[in-house]
Amino acid sequence: MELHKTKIRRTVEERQGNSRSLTPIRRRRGWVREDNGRRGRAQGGMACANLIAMKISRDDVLRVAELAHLELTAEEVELYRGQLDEILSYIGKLEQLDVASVEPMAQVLFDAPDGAHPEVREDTLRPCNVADAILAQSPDAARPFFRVPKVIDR
Amino acid sequence: MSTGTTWTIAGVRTALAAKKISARELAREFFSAIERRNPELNAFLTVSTDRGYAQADRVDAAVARGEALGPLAGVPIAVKDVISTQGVRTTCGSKILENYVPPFDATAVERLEAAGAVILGKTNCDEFAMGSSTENSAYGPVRNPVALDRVPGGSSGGSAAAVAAGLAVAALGTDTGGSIRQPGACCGIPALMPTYGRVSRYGLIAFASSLDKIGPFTGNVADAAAVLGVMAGRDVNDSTSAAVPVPDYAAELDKPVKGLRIGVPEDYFGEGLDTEVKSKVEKGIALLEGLGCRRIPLKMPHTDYAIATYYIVATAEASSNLARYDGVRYGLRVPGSTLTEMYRRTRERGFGAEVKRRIMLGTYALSAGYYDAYYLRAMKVRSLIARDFSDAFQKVDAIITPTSPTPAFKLGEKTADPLQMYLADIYTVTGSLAGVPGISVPCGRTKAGLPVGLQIFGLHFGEGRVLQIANVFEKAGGATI
Repeated sequence: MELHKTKIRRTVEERQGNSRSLTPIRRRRGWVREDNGRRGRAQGGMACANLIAMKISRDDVLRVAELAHLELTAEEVELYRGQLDEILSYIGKLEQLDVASVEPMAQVLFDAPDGAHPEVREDTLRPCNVADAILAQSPDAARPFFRVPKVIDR
Repeated sequence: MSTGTTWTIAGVRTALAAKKISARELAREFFSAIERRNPELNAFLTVSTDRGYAQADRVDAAVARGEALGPLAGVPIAVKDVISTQGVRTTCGSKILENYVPPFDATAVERLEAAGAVILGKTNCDEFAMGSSTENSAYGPVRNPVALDRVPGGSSGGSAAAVAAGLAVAALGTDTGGSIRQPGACCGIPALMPTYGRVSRYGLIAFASSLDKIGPFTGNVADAAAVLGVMAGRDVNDSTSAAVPVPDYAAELDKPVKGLRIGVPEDYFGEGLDTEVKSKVEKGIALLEGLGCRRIPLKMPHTDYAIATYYIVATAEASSNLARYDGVRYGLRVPGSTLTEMYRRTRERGFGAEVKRRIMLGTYALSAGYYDAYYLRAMKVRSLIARDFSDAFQKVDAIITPTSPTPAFKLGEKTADPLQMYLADIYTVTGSLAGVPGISVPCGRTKAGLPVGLQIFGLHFGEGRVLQIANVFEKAGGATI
């Protein structure tokens, strides 16, 4: 039963494109994603120091490809490894900057004039009749569902 | 001089009102031109004759009834293929959406059509807007109409080429790291990137949600102001679209620039800048000084970190945005015996190399153990880059730089080295990260006849000032400097 839950949760996360989480942990009644951000911070110092020297390995590429649902050939793995390595080396220049007291820019135009981004709209129903148009061109539709390979093995 | 067509937005309005030409005849003129020249240029992926002529007929009916015409009535406009057009195939330059037909219009397209514009078709672009040359399109590259062995720039190369070749009076592009401004510079036409949030992103198929903007290519600056005026403004369907009022951009255009302070950041004139480009841009700045602008030297110390920042932030956002292409609901599906196998095979077959590279880079930057060192750090450096701009705007009214370090390069020249291709954006990504508006205007040609672009950055929501300077520059002969 526990294994079953794990499988679904991972699938849902992966489908949501959450590439941060590798394994969910069970906490009390709910399911909570492992907070890799926090973990990363604890390791931060060491990870930072190592990053300039660290090159991306074949295993890194395979891991990332798995997270991103990309199936790569052996040649592609090596090709991308080399290119990503070069790019990441270039990106390493960000290490030169002291950002200890800088706030990350979470939202663009956070300081925009008052009223620039009204928070909510009226909570009224607006028709959106695109279901048929969407299903008509989906790869395998069984109205009102999208049909996919079996997910759950009972 | 730059553009292929002699039609301008004002020219179209006058001719239609005087009944010198019908909207249908005008549309036919452009559809014929596209038929003749597109095989060579590959600027268009889909031509929407049904939709275009239907709209032209509506405009003609309005003319016949003596009704007031919309501001873009009858104006033939092309739309980059990452922007949704109802009933018209939209591929994003990718095989994964080869036969995708959106069931709705992007707000920008809706507004253009409501103003009377005739949508000609969808233009070729780098796959999912990722690239600086349009060579990453899954449907073949676009040729620069000014020099056929060269790139039109990217990612909005098809739109830029269409306007430069006279195959559209205006075209929509999108800019995430430079993808409107740089092709504008390569093809020698005005190209405007509005402030983040100025134009709704509803219907723009997302690449990087905190960076994507829709903006126009046109034959002249006044036309860019007209198109922006129609598209801009709050859209309830895009929560990041700003409720800041849309000014009358046309009213700003001819105001004298005397006394305006133009900032020239030394960081954009260093190593890597082509000497001819530098020389033309310097002449452009001198022209503005001649018109009464005051040149103020600037330092924008984080300029050099912008590419590194961009290629973390944008790719991280892209890795999330492109997770939806999984073969389930739309687009390509490659069958698999399990769901995961279906995802993997679909994405392997459907995505090109650059898209895969960026998805992997973004995934890596967000993954366990690396998030803080890459993504969080990049978000902080982004704040520093934005601060460079806000600090500069304490002292100046506009910032002038070259748009691109080199003129249009040859097809195939940079495709083997992704990092080299990324560095084509060094002068544009800065403004992208800060969310400020920027325009590229033609600023002369190299000895080989290749266009050079001069870039003007303004304050957030300061498109009026940007368009004013650009317009005055153009009227003073900036393009032939």
